[in-house]
Amino acid sequence: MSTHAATALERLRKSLRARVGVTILGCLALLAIFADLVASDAPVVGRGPDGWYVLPGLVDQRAQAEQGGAAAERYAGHTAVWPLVRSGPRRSVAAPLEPASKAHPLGTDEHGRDVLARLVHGSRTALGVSAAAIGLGILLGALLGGLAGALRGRYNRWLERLVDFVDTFPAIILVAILRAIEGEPTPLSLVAAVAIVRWAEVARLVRTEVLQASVEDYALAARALGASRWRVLWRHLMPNAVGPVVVSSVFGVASVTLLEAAVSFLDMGGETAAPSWGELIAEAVRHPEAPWSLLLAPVVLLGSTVLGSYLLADALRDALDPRTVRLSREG
Amino acid sequence: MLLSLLMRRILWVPPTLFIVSVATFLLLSFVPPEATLDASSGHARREQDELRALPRFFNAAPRDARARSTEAAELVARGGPEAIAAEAELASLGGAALPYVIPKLDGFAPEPRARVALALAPVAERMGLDDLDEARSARTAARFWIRLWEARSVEFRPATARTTVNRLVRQPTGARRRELAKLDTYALPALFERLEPPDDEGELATTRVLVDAIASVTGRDDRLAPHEGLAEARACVARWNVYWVSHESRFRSYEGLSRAAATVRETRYARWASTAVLNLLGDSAETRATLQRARVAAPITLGLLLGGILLAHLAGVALGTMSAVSRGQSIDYVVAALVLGLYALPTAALAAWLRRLGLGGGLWLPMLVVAAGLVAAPMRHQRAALASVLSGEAVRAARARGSSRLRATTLHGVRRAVAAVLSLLAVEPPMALSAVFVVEHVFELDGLGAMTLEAVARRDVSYLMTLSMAAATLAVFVVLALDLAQSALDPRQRTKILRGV
Repeated sequence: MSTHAATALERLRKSLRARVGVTILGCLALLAIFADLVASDAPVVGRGPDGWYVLPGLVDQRAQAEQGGAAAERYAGHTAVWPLVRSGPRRSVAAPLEPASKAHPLGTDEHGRDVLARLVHGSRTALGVSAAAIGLGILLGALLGGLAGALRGRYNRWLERLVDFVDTFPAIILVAILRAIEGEPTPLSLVAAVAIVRWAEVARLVRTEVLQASVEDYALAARALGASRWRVLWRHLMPNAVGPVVVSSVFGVASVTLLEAAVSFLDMGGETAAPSWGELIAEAVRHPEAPWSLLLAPVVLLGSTVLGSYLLADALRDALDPRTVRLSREG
Repeated sequence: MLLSLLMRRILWVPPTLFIVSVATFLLLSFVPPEATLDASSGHARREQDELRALPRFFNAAPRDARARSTEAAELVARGGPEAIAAEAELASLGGAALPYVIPKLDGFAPEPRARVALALAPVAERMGLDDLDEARSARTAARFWIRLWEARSVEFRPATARTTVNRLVRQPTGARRRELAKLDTYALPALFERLEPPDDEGELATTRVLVDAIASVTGRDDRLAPHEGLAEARACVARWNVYWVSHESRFRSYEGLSRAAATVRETRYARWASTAVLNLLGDSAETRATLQRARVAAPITLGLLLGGILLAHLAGVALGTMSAVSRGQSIDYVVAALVLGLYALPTAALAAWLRRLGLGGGLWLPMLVVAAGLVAAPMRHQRAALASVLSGEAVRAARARGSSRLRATTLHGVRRAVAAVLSLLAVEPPMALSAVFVVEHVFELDGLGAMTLEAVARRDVSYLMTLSMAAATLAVFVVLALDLAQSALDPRQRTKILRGV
C-alpha cells in the first residue's frame, strides 16, 4: 500500500514533462536567487580597502549605498573573484545599444546598461512577482473558499457571486488603478492586483472540493466520532483541494509572468526601478535598429518560464488525479 | 424557471455595481494629490483641496453655510495672516452668510467688528444696495449692516426666498430681478430647486431667467445666449447642477433631516457619484471629448478582444478535435507542440517581430496576434471533452450500431464540447485584455489601451473610475448571459444555479 502522495510523486518522477518542467523552472529559480553571482557591480569575493568580503554587493553596507561604479572601482585594484558580468542591472556602463562584446555578452540597452545583467536580475522580478502574488492568492482563496464550503448557506451563495464577478474583472484594469495610486510604480502593485484577481479561482476550487467531500462517508464518520466542524474541514476536507490548487497555481505562474511582462512592456505608470523582461522587449520595439538579441533574449527566458510551468502543471494534473492514480495502481 | 433565474440574477446586478463603485472609489481616493492637479489655477486648487478635506464615505459633521460663515467671520475678526483669505471667503459666501454674521457683530469688540463689516462690502455691492459709501467706511460699516438687518432680516427665510424666485419666474421684470439680487447667495438653494432641464420652448424662457439670476449671484459666467436652443440649455443646466453638487453646502444650512442627509451627501464618494451621473446626463466639454475618443477607441479594443477570442476558439476547437481523434499519434504531438509554442511566445514579442518584418495596417494582423496566445485553452478543453466522449459509452454504442466515426463524433461530441468551451468564455476576455493592450501599443492603434495608459500617467481618476465601472458592468452581464446559455444547454445546470449550490 502506498499513499496517494507517494503514488503521485512516483508518477511525477516517471513523467518526462514533469522532469523538463522542473528543470527549466529550477534553473530559472537558481538564476533568480544567485543573480548577484552572474552580474553585479561588486565582485563575488574580493579584498577591499578594509579587508576581505564575500559578496560585498550584499554584505558591505557602503557598496550597497554607493550608486554607480564606485564599488567596482574600489575593488578593481585588488585581488577579487568577479562575476560573469562586471556590471549591475542599474548602472550605465557603455554607450546605448551596443552590440555584443566580451565585457557585455549581450550588448547594452537604450540607457547603456548591460542586457545580460538586466535579464538575470529580471528573473527575480518575474519569479518574485509570480510567487508572491500566487502565494497571496492561495492564502486568501483557501480561506474564503474553505469557509464557504464549510458554512454553506447564504455565505456560500455570496461567495459564488463574488467569485464569478472577480473572475470576469480584468486584472490589467486593476493594475492600472493601483499604478495610478502609487507615487512611484513598483512591482508591489502588480502583486496586489494579481492576488486580488487570482484568489477567486483558488476559492472556487477549494469550495467545490470541500462541498463535494463534505457528504462523503469519511467526513460524516469524523463528525460522528466527535471531531469539531473546523477539524473536519482542516484535516479531512481541505486536503482534497490541495491537488487542484497546486495545479492551478503552477499554471498561474505562466499567466502571471506573462501579465508582468505585459505591464512592464506597456510602461504603465512610468518606468519601474526593477529590471524586467517586458521592459527589454519594449526597448527592442522602440529601437528597431537594435540587434536582434535584445528582442530574442528576454523572449527566450519568458517563453521558457511559461513552458516550464505549463509542462509541470500538466504533469502535476495527471499525477495528482486520484482516479487515474488508482487506475494505474490496479493496472 | 428560466425567467425566475433571470430575475434573480438581475436583482444582483445593482448591488454588485454599487460595491464595485465603492471599492474602486476607495482605491482611487488614495491617488496622490499633487499629481491630479492639471489645472494650476488657484480656484481649481481650492476646490481640489476642499474635496480632499472631505471624509470618504461618512461625514459626521458636515460644514454648512452657518459653520463656514461663523468661522470666516471669527478669522476676520482675529486679524492676522489668515484674515485675507477669510475676507474673500466671507465675500463669496455673501447673502447666505448674513443671517449668521450680522447678529454676531454686536459681540465683537469695535475694531474687529469694523473689519468684519468691511469684509462684507462686496456683498452690499452685489446686492445693489444704496449708501454703498457707508458700507465701505470702517466707521459706519457695522452700523450699516445692523440697520439693514433690522429692516430686512424677515426676507432671509427659505420660504421668502422661494416666493421671490417664483415671482421672478412668473414675471421676469427688472424690479423683480433687483428684488432677488437683494437676497444674494441666500436665494441659491431656492433657485436651484426650480432649475430643471427644459423640455420645450416655454420652459426655455424660465431656464434662461434662472440661469441668468444664478450666474449674476455666483459671479460664474455661464449663461445662455439668446440664440441658443434646447440642447444647449440642457447642457448648461447640467453644468450648473454639477457646480451645485460641490457648492451646495456653502450656501445652505443643515438642520434636522437635511443634516442627516448631509452626513452622507457631503462626502467624497457622494460628490463623485452625483457628479458622474450628472456628467453622463448632460455633457460637459471634457466628457464629450473623452466620450468621442472612447467611441472610436472602444470598438477597436473590443473588436480585437472578441475577434481574437473568436479566432482562437475556432482554431482551438479544430486543433482540439484533430488531436482528440488522433490521440497518441504523431499529429497529436505536433498539435500539442504547436499550441504550447504559441502559448509560451509572449504576445509583445510576436507583435514586435511582425512589426519588424514591416507587416501591419488593418485590424486583421493584430487580431491574429491576440488569437495566437489564446489558442491553448480552448484546444485543451476541446481535446479533453472530446476524448472523454469518444472513449465513453455513447460513442462506443453508436459505433457498434454501425454509425460512422465522423457521425458518432459530431453527434455526441459537439454538445459536450460547446458546453465546455462556453465556460471558458467568461474567464478569457479579462485575461486577453492585457494582450489586447500590448498589441494596440505595438501596432500603434488608438484603442482603450492607449487611453488607459495616458490616464494612468495623468492620474485621471474619473477615467479610471469609468473604465472600472464599464468593465464591471460588462463582467456582470457576461456572467449572466453565460449562466443562461449554460442552463439552456444543460438542464442539470439550471437547478444547480437556481439552488445556488
